[in-house]
Amino acid sequence: MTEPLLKVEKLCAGYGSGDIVKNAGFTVSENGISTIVGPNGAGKSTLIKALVGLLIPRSGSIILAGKDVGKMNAPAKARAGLGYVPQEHNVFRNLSIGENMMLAYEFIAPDRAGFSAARDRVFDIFPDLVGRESDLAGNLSGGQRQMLAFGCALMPHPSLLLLDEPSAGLSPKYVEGMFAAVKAVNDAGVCILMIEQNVREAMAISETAIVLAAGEIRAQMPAREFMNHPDIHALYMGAASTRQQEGA
Amino acid sequence: MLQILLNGIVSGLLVALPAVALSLTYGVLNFPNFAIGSMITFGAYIALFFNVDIGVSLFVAAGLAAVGLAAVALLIDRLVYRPLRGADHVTLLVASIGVYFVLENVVRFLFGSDIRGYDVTVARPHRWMGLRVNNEQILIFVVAFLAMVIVWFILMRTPFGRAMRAVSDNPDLADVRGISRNKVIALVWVIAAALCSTAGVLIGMDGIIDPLMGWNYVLPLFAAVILGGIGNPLGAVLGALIIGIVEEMATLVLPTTYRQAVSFVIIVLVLLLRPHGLLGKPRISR
Repeated sequence: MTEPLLKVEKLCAGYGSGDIVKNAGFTVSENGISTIVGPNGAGKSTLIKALVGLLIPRSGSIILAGKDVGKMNAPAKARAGLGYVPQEHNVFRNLSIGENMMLAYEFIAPDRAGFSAARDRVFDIFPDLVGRESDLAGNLSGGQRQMLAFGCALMPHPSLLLLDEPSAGLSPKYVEGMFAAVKAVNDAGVCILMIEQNVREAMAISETAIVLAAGEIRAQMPAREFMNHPDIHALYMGAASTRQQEGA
Repeated sequence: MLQILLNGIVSGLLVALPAVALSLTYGVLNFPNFAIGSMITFGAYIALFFNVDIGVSLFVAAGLAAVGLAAVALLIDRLVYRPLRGADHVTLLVASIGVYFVLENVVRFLFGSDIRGYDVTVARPHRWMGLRVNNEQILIFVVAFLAMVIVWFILMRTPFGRAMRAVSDNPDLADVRGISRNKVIALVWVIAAALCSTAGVLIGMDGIIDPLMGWNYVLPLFAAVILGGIGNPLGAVLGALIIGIVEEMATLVLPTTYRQAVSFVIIVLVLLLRPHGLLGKPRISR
């Protein structure tokens, strides 16, 4: 078996005194879509902030493509190939669409020559953005803004793209389009790790499910197996780990 | 009347330089930098040191002052503002008031409290279509205009300018875009210092140099920035020009001692009538 693209081990992170994410460990293999699911307050957002470097983990390691990026800050992680689309406030509202795309590229990707190719690639996936470079990003609708955020994260060719609830706050008719876009991006060769509340829709396009509850990784299994799991409830609520131990 | 308008534009341009600096630091660091007044003073005195005590030309001294003040600003950022990064803006404002007093008193300690002047020859003013224009005014006009064009170019057309606007818009997102916040902040201090020291030298050429010279500009500066729309450098320029002209005009009807009160009145009126300033689009924040 090949080395996983991302390997997280014994990760602890939090604010103030206690740890919110406790000893989290999981892997993301190359090429697929992996989805972290879990109940509200499970620590999903804290986990993703720790992964992208907006919160420096207290202990543990984050190995991206064989390199430990655990203690790097966010700009360094971005340069190491980690792309990130935050759940909200994910575009520069007072800058134009074109400037947003430029900024997403120029401080991460070293060669300026590749910019227009990268932009064309994004335009292929999100044709709605074509010809609107001079529009202010803040004037976009929620769905379009999400597309721009997504496109910007793709600009510098990240090796792994982290999505924080891409469907949150979108009207139902956009949700479907959003997941189609996630799939399209993945088909274009970008490995994706996302957090999602819309479990059913997310699992339909995912290969792997990672269950996070009470700050701990409870299970990692193929998405199909997760959806057919006899007792998803138990996984969420924590009985699963004990049962697995009993079974072992 | 035209003479007053001309004087107003020139004094407005003097306000505009530090007003742009104030607006930039506000946008990126998210606090109103009260110490801007003493940065003007400090810059003027560094130039004075090189011009009068060392004896280089004022032009070279002004360049050295910009470099020197930039170093001072970076040092202050390291010692004072960086440990407070992420603190709320009232804390930072109070810290900057402290910085103001420290800088002003460093100037008093090093140079004394006397009124000083640069080593420049005073030329007779030109007369042109009934207007009296002196060389200093022409110089202020040209230098301030050039400085503003350069800043505009940096801000709108260079990667660093984009990065500055990005950090000002959404610092966390700028982080994940690979933009180093500390580098951007350092660049903002360097630009702010260059603008302030240039203003200090021009003010000193046009008038006098004393430890309170920057203090006199604090009020009109804040009035200009608030009038133009906080955090909007272009607005700050417009605000500064309006403040300059209105203050000069006010001398027609008010004793000159009330000049500063005009800034206050403008601040109050703007806050009541148009709180986001003249060029304020209310910033998009949904």
